[in-house]
Parts: sequence; C-alpha cells; structure tokens
Amino acid sequence: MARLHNPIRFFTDEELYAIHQTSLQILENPGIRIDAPNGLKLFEDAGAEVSYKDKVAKIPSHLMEEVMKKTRGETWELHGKEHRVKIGGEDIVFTTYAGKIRDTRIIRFDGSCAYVLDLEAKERRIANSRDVIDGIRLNDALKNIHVVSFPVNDQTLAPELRTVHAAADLVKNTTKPGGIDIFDVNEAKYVLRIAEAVAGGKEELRKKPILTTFVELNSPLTIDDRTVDLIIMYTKEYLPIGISTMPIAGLTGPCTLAGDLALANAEVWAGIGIAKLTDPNAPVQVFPGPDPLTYDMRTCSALYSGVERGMFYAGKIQLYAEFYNIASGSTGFKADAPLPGIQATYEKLMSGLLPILAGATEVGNIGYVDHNLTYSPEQTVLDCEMADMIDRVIRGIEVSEETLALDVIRQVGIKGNFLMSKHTSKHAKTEFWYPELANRLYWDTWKKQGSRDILDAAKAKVQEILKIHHPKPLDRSSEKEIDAIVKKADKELKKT
Amino acid sequence: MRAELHHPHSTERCHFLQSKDVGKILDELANCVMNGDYESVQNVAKKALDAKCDPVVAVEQGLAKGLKVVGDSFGRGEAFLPDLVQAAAAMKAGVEIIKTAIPKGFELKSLGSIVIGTVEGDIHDIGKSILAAMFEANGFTVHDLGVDVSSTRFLETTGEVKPNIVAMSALLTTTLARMPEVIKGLGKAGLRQKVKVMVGGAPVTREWADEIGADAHGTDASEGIIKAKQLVGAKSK
Repeated sequence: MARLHNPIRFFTDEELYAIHQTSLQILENPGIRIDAPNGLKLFEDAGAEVSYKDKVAKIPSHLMEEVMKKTRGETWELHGKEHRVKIGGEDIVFTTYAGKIRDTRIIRFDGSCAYVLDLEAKERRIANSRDVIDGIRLNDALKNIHVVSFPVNDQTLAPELRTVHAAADLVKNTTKPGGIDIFDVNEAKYVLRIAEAVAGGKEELRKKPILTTFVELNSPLTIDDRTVDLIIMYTKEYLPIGISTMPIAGLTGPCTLAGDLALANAEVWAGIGIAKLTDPNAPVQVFPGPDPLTYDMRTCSALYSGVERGMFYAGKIQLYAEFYNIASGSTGFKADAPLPGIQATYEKLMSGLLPILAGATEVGNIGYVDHNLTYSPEQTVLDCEMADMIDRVIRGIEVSEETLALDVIRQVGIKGNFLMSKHTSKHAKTEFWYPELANRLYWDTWKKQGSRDILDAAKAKVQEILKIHHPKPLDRSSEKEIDAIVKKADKELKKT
Repeated sequence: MRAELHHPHSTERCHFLQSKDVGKILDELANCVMNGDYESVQNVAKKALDAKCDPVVAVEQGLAKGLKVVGDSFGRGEAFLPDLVQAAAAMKAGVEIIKTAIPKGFELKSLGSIVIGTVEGDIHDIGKSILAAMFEANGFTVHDLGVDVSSTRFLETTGEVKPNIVAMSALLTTTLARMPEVIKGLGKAGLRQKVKVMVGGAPVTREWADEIGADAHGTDASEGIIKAKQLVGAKSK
C-alpha cells in the first residue's frame, strides 16, 4: 500500500483553473482545424461555429465543458480488463479533487524504434524482425513490465505492412496486453481482427481490450483526417483509444511551459470531443494525453527527457486528476543520452519518478536511449530495476507498533545489537529493497569478483532471459487465424 | 552568400548611382537581420532602394552580412535556433523588397533550386520548414511541397521545375521506406542523373542514406546547408 500521502503538486487550484480557462479560450478562438468533414460535422451539430472551407471548428466553452463532464470520473485499467469507475455525476461543478499516489501502476514498454543498440560496439544498427520478437519476448519475461508493445519496427518490411505484422508478433510472443501505434484505419481493421482472434470474438474483445492504441494530434491545433477516422472507429467499437499530443515548446507550441500545457490540453480535449460527440459513453484513455516536449535551441534536438518534461508530466497528471477528475498516465523513463550510462540514468530516473510521485496510473515507455530512436535490451532491464526501486519509495515508511519496535529496542537495550533479533530476520527481506543488477560490493571484493560493471550484469540478464524464456504460445487455431489475417493484409495493404 | 546579378542572355552588368547614405543603410539592414527584425527590415530595404543602393550590394553587404554574424554565433552555441530562423526570415523579407529594384531580365543569382518535402504518411513539418527557411536564406530557390508528399508528387514537381536537389524528410521510422521509393521513381523517370538527392530527419543516418543511394544526408539544418552547397558545387561561407 502506498504510504506517501500527498502527490507532488506543481499548481495551486487557481493556477489549474487558469490553465483550464486558457484551453477553453484557445478552442473558442482560433478554434481547432479538423481535416475531415465528418469530424467538423460532429462539432457543428453540437453547436460549434464551423467553417468547412477553412476546416476550422470554433468550439464554445459550454460545449467543451459538456464533453468534460461526460468524461469525468472515468478511469481505464488495462490488463485486458475494462474497468470504469464513475465518480460523482453529471451535476459536478468544476472543483478540485484530491489527487493521490497510486499503490500500483502500469509500466509500459513501447517505442517502435528504427535502431537496436549494439552495446559492445557502441553502435546502433537497423532493426529486423528478429529484434522485434526478441524484444517482445524479453519484456514478456520481465516482472515490472505490464504492457508490452513492439520495441522496434522491422525496417525490412514495407511501411504499410509493419503495423499488422507487429500486432501479430505481439499477440504471439506475449501474454501481457499490448499497445500499438496505428496511423491508418485500413491497418487498424486488421489489427482489430487479430485482437478479436485472440480474445475470441468482437464482444469478448470489448470486455478484454488486449491491444490498446493511441493517436497523435498535430500541434498546433490540427487533427488530421486519418486521426479523426481512427478515433471514430475505435469509439464505435467501444475500444479505448489514447489521445495524445506532443507540441514542442518554442516550435509547435509556446516556449513557456504553462502555455504549452494549456495548448496541449486544448488539443487533447478537442480529440476527446470527437469520441464523446460520436458516442457519449465511449471509453477514452488519457494516455499519454498532453505530452509536450522541449527543445534544445542550441543544438536543434527535440528532447524526450529535458527535465521540464518530467515537470510537464507531473503537472498534467495533477491537472487531470484534480481538475477533471480523470486518472491519467504519462510517458516517462526517457533518455536523450546516446548510450546507457550516467546521463541516461539521471534522465530516466527524473522523468520516471516525477509522474509517479504525481499519481500516474501508468508510465512508459522504458527501454530506449538516443531521443527514443534506439532500443537497448540492456537498458530495458536497467529501467525495470529503477521502476522497482521507485515502487519501494512509494511503499513509504510504515508506522505501527510493530515497525516502531519499542519492545525490540528495550529488549536489545543499550549497546546491544539488533542482528540476533527475530524482528530483524522478520523484516530484513521486505523492509529494504534489493537490486538485481546494481553492484554494492566493497572495493576489494568487487575487484576480486572481476570488477563487473552494471552493464555487464544487464547484458548477462538479457542473454539469460532470451535463452530460457519462451512465452506461452497461442492455441493452434488462433495462430492459424492470425496468420491468415496477416497474409490477407499483405495482399490488400501492399502498395506497389 | 554571393549575391550576383546576372542576365540569362548577356554579360551586361547594370549600374546604380548610390548616395552617400548607403553605408549607414547597409549597417541598418545587417542589424535588422541580426536582430531578427523581419517586420521593419522591409522599410529599411525600401530606404536602401530610395538611396539608389545597388541591390547586389544591399544583399551582400547588408542582409547577408547580418545573417553570417548570426550563423557564426549559432555555430559557436551562442545564438539559439529562434535567433537563427528569425534572422533568416528577416533576410528573406529584405530580399523580397530588394528584388523589386532589379531591372527586367536580370535576376538575383540563385545557388540552385531545391524541391523539399516530408514523405508520404508523415505529417511532421517543423524540421523540414526550418531547413527550407535556411536554404532560402542561403540563396537557394526553394519549392516546399509541405508534408505527406507522395512519390508521384515528388516526381511530377521534379519533372516540372527541374531542381538541382530533391530533399526528403521523415520523422517516423515507418515512413523512412518512402525515401527509396522516390529515388527509384526518379530513376525510372530518367531524372535520377539530373538531380542530387538529400535525405534528413531524426531517424535518418548516413548508413541509411548510403543504402538507399541518396547523395547526401544532414544530421541537422546547418549540416544540410553545407551538404547542399557541396552538391551544387558552391563554396561554403
């Protein structure tokens, strides 16, 4: 049980209100561009001022607040189980709720990188299908990972076929729920059929959405036609879709953090609006939701783990939990460092810890370095160790008669020692966190044992898992069905 | 950059009677670019023309001089990206006015023309647009096709405008494979020998550029400019 009693808060109640108001005003003027007439019509029918010529919907605040009310109190738990908790009712006025730190959280592994890191050579190489499957297998085995996606894209496959192949690889190589990036409705149709084949039909899939997806809006203030179609499709299927947006502060969003958050918040609500106006009972998932990046204005690189990004995560989780009453997750455990090492570690720890301390329901995506371009199997197991360590922090310090240990202190008395106490043997295994990879030996012992670096330990662990771990296979008939779906997709999606 | 006036059909030069104030105005033009003042640069450019400043001089010793200062400072890590792109925008705005004084038949010599776009399936705009702005500021003529550009559109435009360079950008790992499609298409259309191909974007590497047979690859906008200049045989700086 989490014993940290208050989540970190970056904003006062008044500041939350100011961000919310700014987002509403953005959606009123200039509004949002929606590159699809069906998306525009949804807002027009609900009372927005729509220009089909400019493809812009100016959304009045009262309309957006209706959408917000319909979304309040919804939480989504993955693990293939639909779990909706509606806190309060439609008559809720906008007040703040206390946020809370979650007892447990989902750690996600996803990335669709182009490269795999060869740690020994300090080189990255283009990923192939073997890397995809090994990455999924590795994460299937790691206990700290709850949602698995594909680590890399098979760069040898035609782009239009990758999503469907990846979905098939996922369900064949992990029993954990999967997350998948989809950019096109045509691909999504095949992905859903694969998911149905595993779940055992359409209805079963609704109850157990084993493959989640998320779409990205286009900052500033644009939703493209493919994204509109995907949101509507998932809404009609009653499958959760994550709506996210990644403005880059100073480039595709204002340079100031508050302004960027207000913009991203406006965009995400417009996206949720498409779902909720299609069907008010549609499930939406605020993962990652507003997900702004910062930018190194000296070297021109988009930063996945600038320290401000962790602040964004925490601020956004507070905004959603306290103001909109929606539990949400964020990305995290990110690194811009090219290689695993000191820089990657502090970047990852900061961007992973901040959202968790703010009450994230899920955090991802682990396993990457190099601005999220390169997947490192070794970094994946290191990230799991960090997540495990954070879990210990969240467990906090238990205060009870047992843990205050007055009797034990009296028993041992002045100048005694506690090693012989049963109290010590009872608590030593659970009170402290024990790392699997970190080195805690004294110098001489460490030398004697071969001066091993933590990266050696990470490498050995990866090799061991890949040697012995074979995920539970699907039953033969589902596997056959999936192979047939992939074959059909190959034929129908392939561009000449 | 070298700004030269040239006439496509003769070696004739045109002459301008410059007033004495020109030196001060040139400094003002340079300052406008250095400060990224893309709003008032046009008034100063008009002032330069009123003072009968030679357009080539106005560009070379005014606008371009300012841009070089910012570019060098950016290279040293002192100026930041917004300083650079705003300076480039000021340069472009200034050139627009200066161009109006160029006699009919003459034109400001371009380093070459570039067709640029983000490949099909990819709607990432900002990196491509930064590079396009910097190409223009460096004296290239740019045809920006925008984002989600199909192979067909790349090929059609290449056939129409006959550029020196075709530049492709991709940010998604799924859309990288569109790049070799365009290159193959150029080959089939008999255009490959007539243009140079540049590729860029976060997931693009030198190895990838080599593998797909691109002529150059830049890891960032500054390197992109250097590479483009090399491709058209122009000197850098």
